[in-house]
Amino acid sequence: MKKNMVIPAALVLVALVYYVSAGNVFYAHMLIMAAINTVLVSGLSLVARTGRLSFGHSAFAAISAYVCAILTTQYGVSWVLAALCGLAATTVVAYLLGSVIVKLRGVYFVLVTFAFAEFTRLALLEFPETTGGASGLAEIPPLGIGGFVIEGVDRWLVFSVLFCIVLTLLMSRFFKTTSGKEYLSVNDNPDLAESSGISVSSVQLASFVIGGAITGFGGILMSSYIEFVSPESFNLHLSITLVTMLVIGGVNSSWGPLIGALFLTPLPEILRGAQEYQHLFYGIVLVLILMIRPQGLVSIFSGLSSSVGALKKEKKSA
Amino acid sequence: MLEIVNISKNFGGLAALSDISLSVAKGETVGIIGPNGAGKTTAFNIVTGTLPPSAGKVFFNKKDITGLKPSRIVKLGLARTFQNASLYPDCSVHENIFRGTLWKLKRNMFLNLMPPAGEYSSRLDSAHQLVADIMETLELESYRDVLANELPYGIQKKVGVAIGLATSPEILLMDEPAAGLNSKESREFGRLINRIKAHYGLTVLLVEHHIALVREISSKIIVISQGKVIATGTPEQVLNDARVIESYLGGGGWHAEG
Repeated sequence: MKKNMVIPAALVLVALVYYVSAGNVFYAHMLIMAAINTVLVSGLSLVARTGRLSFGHSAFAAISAYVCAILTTQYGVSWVLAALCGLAATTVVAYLLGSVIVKLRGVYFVLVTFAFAEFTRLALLEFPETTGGASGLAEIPPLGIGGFVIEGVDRWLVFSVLFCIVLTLLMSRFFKTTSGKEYLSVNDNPDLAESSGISVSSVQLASFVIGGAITGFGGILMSSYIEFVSPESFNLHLSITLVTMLVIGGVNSSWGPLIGALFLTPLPEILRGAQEYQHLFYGIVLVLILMIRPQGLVSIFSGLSSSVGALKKEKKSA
Repeated sequence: MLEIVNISKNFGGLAALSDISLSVAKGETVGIIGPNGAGKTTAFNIVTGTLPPSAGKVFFNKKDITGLKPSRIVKLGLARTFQNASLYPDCSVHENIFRGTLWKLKRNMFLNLMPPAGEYSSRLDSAHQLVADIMETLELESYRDVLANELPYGIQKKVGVAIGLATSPEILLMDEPAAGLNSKESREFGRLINRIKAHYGLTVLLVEHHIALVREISSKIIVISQGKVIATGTPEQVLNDARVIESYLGGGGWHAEG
């Protein structure tokens, strides 16, 4: 494990141990939600690291979650199969949408994803026989893999935190491989990447599809944990929250989603008394971070670990 | 090796190139010169796939590459460099050059999360060898871990060439390699081009303002003016051509340059 990973990983573990030992259901719930948000944001981060921004990722979470929920509640399909179908549906939709819009430049791409999120939400309201309309679908069966059922706060805590750490480690590993470097090249200098034999549009399409699937899986986790879905679980606010978490955590780091989600997930709860001002507060935090730490909160940690490294070196030479 | 046949390009009503034909044979160094706005860069962009032509064809090794995407054309063995040293600014020199080899290191992204193995790991090894060889040939070893945006401009231009070489081209198209360099640096760059040509068995096509450089290294010069080829030949023939002197060089003023 590299130096720059150790500190965030240790922080998460410390937090986990603390919350578990405290046995506080509310804190555990916050941590589970932060872990699930990390999965949601990770999908978005994959897209962002090829130089694209999507405001429509809530739609991918919605599609996966709804397909999974409809299959389990109305057709009695097992969770694993239903989740796979949800992911497959999201992948197909992301591919179809992505191959059309990947040619669009900058802000037009963002606008289409924005419209797509709203379209998906309205489509869910439009077919109440299947989707439950505005009241959504309740009593979604719990996450079960074979005979093992993940139910209750304790199991969810362990499962979701482990899952989000493994995902974060995989993302971090991915960006050190040659495939990951193609993504980074496209982000850093698309013209040069294209003239070096990297097809910018294929890389961006791949990131859009795989990122959509990751966020889609986050949506499935969320609906299985809460045991409820409604169009309002996946509205534009979610998309905006995901983007805010990503930017605050750090767009160009594999640890950005985790840090952003850990920092922003508990905020609305802390500010529960002033919920209508929640997005105002997000906005202020976003502006402050962009002014003080444009690389995101993660830069504080990497700064810390590099200064720790420097200290060690000094000690050695002394 | 490279043949441009009757290429025209119109931007709206403006004809940037009209009916241009030229060819580059294996092992040659061909220089395209011409005044600003003559259509040099447009021709360049059409060959590399950045712009589609309005009419005409481009052949590379007898294969029609007209309208292919730049990333496809590179894989056939035709690489380019950029005029203003376009690099990956936050990456080391080594990483910049390594990224030029990425297209040869395609592997399933999920499989790639596993350590390199088998045929892929030998591809990876040869990519690293090529990067090391390029750094040695271009004398970039002392800058190995320096970030690209912290390099002096002349070195940035070298790294730009190095990235192009890392794609393993048969022909390298250079867009104004001497732009922004002083005359000493530009002479060094000329020697560098000759060195990499010999070392990698390259063919070179360059677009250049700096006539001294073109005269020094080119075996053939093509003069473009107002979207048309007005002269083709050896440096001596072309630079003494009455039409060339009249339309571009302005009566021998180029002798003073460089």
